[in-house]
Amino acid sequence: VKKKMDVLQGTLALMVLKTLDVLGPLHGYGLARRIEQISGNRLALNPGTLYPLLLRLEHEGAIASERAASENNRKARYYRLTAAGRRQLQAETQDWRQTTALIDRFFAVKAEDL
Amino acid sequence: VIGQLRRLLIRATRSAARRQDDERLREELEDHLAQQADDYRRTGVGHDDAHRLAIVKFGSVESMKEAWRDEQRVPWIEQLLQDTRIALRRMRQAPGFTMAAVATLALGLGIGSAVVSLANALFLKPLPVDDAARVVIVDQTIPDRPLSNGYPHAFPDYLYYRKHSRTLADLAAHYSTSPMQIVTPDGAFNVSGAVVTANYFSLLRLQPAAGRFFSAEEDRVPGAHPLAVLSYDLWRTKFGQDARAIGAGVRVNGTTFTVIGVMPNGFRGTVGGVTPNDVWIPTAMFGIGYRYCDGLARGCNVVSLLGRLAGGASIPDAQAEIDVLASQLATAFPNTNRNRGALVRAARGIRIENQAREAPIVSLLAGGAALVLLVASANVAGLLLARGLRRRREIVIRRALGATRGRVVRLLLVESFVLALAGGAAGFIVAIWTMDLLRGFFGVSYVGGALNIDFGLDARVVLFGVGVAALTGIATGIAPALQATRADALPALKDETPGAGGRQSRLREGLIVVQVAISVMLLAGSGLLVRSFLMVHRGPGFDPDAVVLLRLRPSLVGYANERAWAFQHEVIRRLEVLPGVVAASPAGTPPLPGWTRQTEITHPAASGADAGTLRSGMTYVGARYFKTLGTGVLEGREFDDSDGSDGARVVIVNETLARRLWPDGRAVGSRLVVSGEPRDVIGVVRDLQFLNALEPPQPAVYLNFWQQNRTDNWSSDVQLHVRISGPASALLAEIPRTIAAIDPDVPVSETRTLGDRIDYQFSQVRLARALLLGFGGLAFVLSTIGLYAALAFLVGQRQRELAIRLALGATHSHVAALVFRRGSTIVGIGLAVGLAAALFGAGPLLANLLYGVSPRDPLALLAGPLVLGMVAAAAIWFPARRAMTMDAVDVLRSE
Repeated sequence: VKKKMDVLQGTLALMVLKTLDVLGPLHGYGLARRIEQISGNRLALNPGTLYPLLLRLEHEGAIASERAASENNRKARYYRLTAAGRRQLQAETQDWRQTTALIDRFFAVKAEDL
Repeated sequence: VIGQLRRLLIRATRSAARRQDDERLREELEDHLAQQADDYRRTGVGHDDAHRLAIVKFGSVESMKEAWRDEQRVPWIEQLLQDTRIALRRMRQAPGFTMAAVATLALGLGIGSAVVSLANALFLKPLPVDDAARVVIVDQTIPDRPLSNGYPHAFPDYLYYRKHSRTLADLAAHYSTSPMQIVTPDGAFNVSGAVVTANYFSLLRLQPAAGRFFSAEEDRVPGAHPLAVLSYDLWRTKFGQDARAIGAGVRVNGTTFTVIGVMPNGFRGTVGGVTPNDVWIPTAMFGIGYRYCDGLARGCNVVSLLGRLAGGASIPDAQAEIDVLASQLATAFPNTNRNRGALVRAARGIRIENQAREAPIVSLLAGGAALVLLVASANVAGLLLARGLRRRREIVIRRALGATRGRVVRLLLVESFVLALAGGAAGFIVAIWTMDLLRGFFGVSYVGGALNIDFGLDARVVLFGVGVAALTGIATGIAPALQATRADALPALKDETPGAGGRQSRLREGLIVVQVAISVMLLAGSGLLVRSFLMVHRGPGFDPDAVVLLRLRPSLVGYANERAWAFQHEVIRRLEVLPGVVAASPAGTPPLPGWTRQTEITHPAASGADAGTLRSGMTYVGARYFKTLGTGVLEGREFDDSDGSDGARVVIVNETLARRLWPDGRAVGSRLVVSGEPRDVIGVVRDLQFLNALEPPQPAVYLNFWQQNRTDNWSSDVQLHVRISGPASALLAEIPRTIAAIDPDVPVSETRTLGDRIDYQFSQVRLARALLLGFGGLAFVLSTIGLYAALAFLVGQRQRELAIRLALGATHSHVAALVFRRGSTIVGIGLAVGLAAALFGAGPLLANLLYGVSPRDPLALLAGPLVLGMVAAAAIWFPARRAMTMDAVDVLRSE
């Protein structure tokens, strides 16, 4: 069994936004499953972290939600990305890329390069 | 307590949103568990196990809630409370500063709020009746006379308006300043009554506290129903609040009336600013309440109108309709109504003519209060600035630890806010106290009775106080806060005592210049008013405290002509033999502004500019009148007992008239035509006028009281002047008793010394004097403290620099001169600006309150500023001395 990683603080929001961007509206449970799936099951998502995050994102206006029937005829709350959320996603993607690029340079560095 | 309050606040603001969020999380939790269980079941787990497993998988529900709470930011209110806690802690740490600032603000805010409640009471308060917003007043307008005079209508015009108006649901007529002499078995007394139509009660939606009101039927036939309604107060004080008073008889101005009801408690009539009403009688009994003309006849303008707007109608609607009706009346009755109109306005504040009279003095008050508030704010801002400098280190550390500039500014603003609110709370007490003082000026009639004005605080005033306190908080806090946070972090941290801090010092010194200028202006103004009031009380040469005035009106109780004259003769005869009385003389009017009648006089022998007629004051006076006043006669003689009703027609003129008509000084023995009747001049007397700086002296003539045209039965009504020797108090009671011995039915009213009457008549001067003195003194103390603090601070702040100067060879006196120069520059500019403002602003503004003193009177203008300058010099001297005695080595070593 591979050791599962905890989600790095601050990155879960980015994952949620990106997932919703790619897959369209999802309910909370589905979203959790999808994120785990995309991570190749390397992530263990704590629902106790996910739902407060969704609520916060909604308060911030990045996502919106409404209750609708789910695939197996249960009622569930579906989340979707708003225009503001899409802008936020773009900005954060940009930031993330810059950060990783920067870190990569440090990892790539060798003594003889300096 | 603060902690509890805080929790309560947080709970209140959050609970609603919180409940929704909790609900949401709970719902998601259930959905999640259900879906998870579905998934488990799909993999073959049993129903119950699936659910249990789902719960286990989910983990702690509590931790989810906690995670949510952590997600939430610290709300603004929490931060605000935190800032408030810090502010309160700071206030406790510096009790001296806190007390100074709170007291300063309390004075500024308190006086401001009191003035606003005064303005509210005088100009804005609606009538104390149900749905008062729809009650209007309809006044008559007369061309070329001020709208603000509120002229009454003739009763037949009232009937026409009432009959034809559609925009007014109802219209009532009243005459609310009727002098009524009431005689009950227990004694006689004077009240102010109202003559009203029956619908007065229903229009105002009044309910009797006892008995009933009269009906329209009882107000129809003149003289048929002598019915009276009493005020609750009168019922309580004179009738023992006894139900048996209903149905009892009382004599009103000599006629017996039946008491049928009692007004609701607290209702004292609809006219503010006059003596409150105690008795209401029907208009059908008009003759009892009003005696100058038939109150029900055309041409006798005596009734005021109160209307209630019909549903949907506005004041402009009513005005448009009344305009039409008024023009119809003007066409139908050109003799009496030509060019007359009517003005509809909301029933607010006191009587409109009193409003017009009080408006200037209230503006003056408001201006003074605003200036004091300005000085107070400048002072507190100065204190905060100084403290800001001292706190630079603290602020820099806060910034260095990560507080944003906004956060620090907010903290400082909250501090000044808390300070302002504390000042506002203390100001409330000052407001109540000031209000009591103002009530003494505005709430009292010229005979010393309370007026019908409700001075109670209302929500509007309290709101104003809170609003101004909040604004003051921002005004006093914003500059120091921005100043303090502008500091660069490093120098301040390195250097315990930063340099002179040019900007801050200059701002602070600028504030002191403003304060000094304002106090100089106020003190100079008060100097003028102090002199003015001294002149006024002495009057035009008489000794006002040795003269008792009283009003005797036998016509009120129906005395016919000859009987009234005989009565007056008898009164004077008996008074003149009373011990302590020097002389008694009747006069038509008292020697006070606003009472004198006008007439036209012609000088038959004159030619040139003064030929033809000229307007002059005219007063009827009896024998020994000028002896009674104590002014004496300049030339010739005054009236004596030989000038009876059948004696030669004679006249006395004043100095101004004599100079004007007979520049050669031969007035006595000349002839003069007064009101068309030729008379011999027998004497010249001093000008007996109170003239303010704007008024030129007026010509005046004095005719013999007993030689009046006797066709009116009220011409015998008299203002009796009695000169006394010794203290007035005993005679003020003895004189009415002596008159009552002749006939107790005849009302003796307004018995006071001439001095008291003058003090009332010039209460505006008295008030302005008290105010400007008070305001000026306050501003003076505040600015002196500010000046001292600023200079002391300057010395403290520049200690090192001064010490270095000393060490490098500067003398002590050189250093002291440095401080002195700084201080005297501030004071000098303040004095110059303040005096200029007094000379060109305050003086001319006060001109109508200045009696016997010029608005540019140098002594009056300079007295206050001189004192201020001296005290300011002391305030400069102490810090300068500290600089002088400073030991340079000690200072430099302590660094």
